[in-house]
Amino acid sequence: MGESERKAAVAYAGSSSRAGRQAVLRHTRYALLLLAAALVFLGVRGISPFDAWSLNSLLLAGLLLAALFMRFEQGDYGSREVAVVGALAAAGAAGRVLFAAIPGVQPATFIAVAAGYSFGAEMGFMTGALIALLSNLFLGHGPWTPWQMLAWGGAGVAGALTARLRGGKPSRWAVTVVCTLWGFVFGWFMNLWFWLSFVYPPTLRSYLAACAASFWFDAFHAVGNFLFAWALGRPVISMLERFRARFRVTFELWGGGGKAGDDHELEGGGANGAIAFPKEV
Amino acid sequence: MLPVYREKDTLLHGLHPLSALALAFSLVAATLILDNPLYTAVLCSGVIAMLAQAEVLGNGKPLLRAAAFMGMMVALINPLVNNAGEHVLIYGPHIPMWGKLNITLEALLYGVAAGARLFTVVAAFCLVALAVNPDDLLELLSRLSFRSSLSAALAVRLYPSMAVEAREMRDTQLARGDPLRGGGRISRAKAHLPLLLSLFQGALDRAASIAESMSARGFGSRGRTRYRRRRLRPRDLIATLVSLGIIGTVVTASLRSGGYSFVPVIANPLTEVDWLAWGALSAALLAFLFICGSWRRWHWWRSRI
Repeated sequence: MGESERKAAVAYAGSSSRAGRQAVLRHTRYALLLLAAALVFLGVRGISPFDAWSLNSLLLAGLLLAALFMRFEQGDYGSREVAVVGALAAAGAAGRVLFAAIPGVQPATFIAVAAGYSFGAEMGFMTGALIALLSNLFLGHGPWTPWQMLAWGGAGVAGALTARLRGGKPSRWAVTVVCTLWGFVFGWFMNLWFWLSFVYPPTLRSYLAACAASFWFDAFHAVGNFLFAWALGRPVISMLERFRARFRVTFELWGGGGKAGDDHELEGGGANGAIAFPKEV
Repeated sequence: MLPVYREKDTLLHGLHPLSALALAFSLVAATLILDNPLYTAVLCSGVIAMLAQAEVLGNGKPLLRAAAFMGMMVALINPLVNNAGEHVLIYGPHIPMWGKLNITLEALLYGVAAGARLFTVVAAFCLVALAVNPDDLLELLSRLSFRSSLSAALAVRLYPSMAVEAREMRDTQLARGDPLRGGGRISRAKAHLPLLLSLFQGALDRAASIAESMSARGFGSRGRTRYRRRRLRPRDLIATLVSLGIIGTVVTASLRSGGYSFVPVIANPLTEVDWLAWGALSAALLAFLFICGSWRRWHWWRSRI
């Protein structure tokens, strides 16, 4: 077997194993979603193995999170996306500490929405979910962690949907509206686990009472989000857009005749003595 | 002081993250499923004793205090939203669109029991947060979801330096006379906004350099190597058996005696409890606590497990 044939065989083996892994991830995701749906169905019909919505809701949140993490795993993301999600999550968690002295005001929702707006639903979700996971390492984990991960992850998805509605154009107004609304949505969503687990009877009336009890916390959260989005929406989205543009840079090898799409190929080009130039930004 | 993980020489710190998670999950499941206050009492005592055995009771105090506050909120909200129950303690006014605001003994006791269960669940989470190394947890997660756990690991690594950076920026601004501390909530938030922008810029710069390093080291190429720090040992088998014992007891108790009812009249916990299951639960927790204690005292036993 010649060198080129050997390389082609290795590439084929790599792509087939990758395709197999993708299929496993996809099926696992579907299985998790089916399990979550079954849990809801059994709970609603009252034939759940245990008459405890508290446990069922915790399991449901865990299953949904696992399915959504699988989705990110399945996506075609490289080192830059992984690093950006990690860095934004760290910035969000550090921001929570920075604003810890001001009750109810925290930049986590704004950062998740901005990440979703600029990088899409999956990266937005991951950023929001990781902000909750990471900051609770320092502020304290509890049964609320999976719910916070879902709620802030949802903020990222809402940011991505807003960007789609706006045709991808940066809009301070749109981001501000979503962030402000999410201050309340976050509170209402977080009240769900509390209501399902520790309030009896779980009726609309008791849920409204739980929401009324948390109204001022939610209102401060919403006002904080409004401030962040109004004051920082435009510069942060522009910053993220510029950074995203850096993701798209592809290199063309001067004199080599070929095009290098990733860093490994670029290294090879360098070894051949070719010089790489950015093709498009 | 914030409750963060610290390495300690206890059996609970030495557990494999999977068995520690199984133990915490069994405690949480038992607390949420079994609503007879006698089960809650034994589970709450067991979790508190485990926190003491793991020497994290002092470190976890802020979280436990917050849990106690949340438990009190639950105890307060329940009587206001639930007027089922035959023993009315306070006849409240009629509120339009809401109905009678009566406070009943049953709803009050349900609230107290639910608050105690919430406290126990948070204490079990506290055990995982303070006795299981986050790096080991992320290593466990990386086997299931590599990219997500890598992002989380990066965030964990970046967070301390970014928090220090945030604090330094705030101190610098304070030294320059910026109104970061005085004034109302909104004006303080406004004064903090430029700091967040700088933090953001720093985060993106770090992300760019990390991505370059990852690419240079072959991120995404095939044949990723893996180093396992933790191995399953006999102590993990013991913890897993205790977890299975707790789950088995929960299933048996819920199948044999069903749920405990608070309304319309509160049931007698002493007659409603399945004493065999209660004894088994107590025995499982006591046995595990004994093993934790003996592990520290008897070197021979320690070397065997």
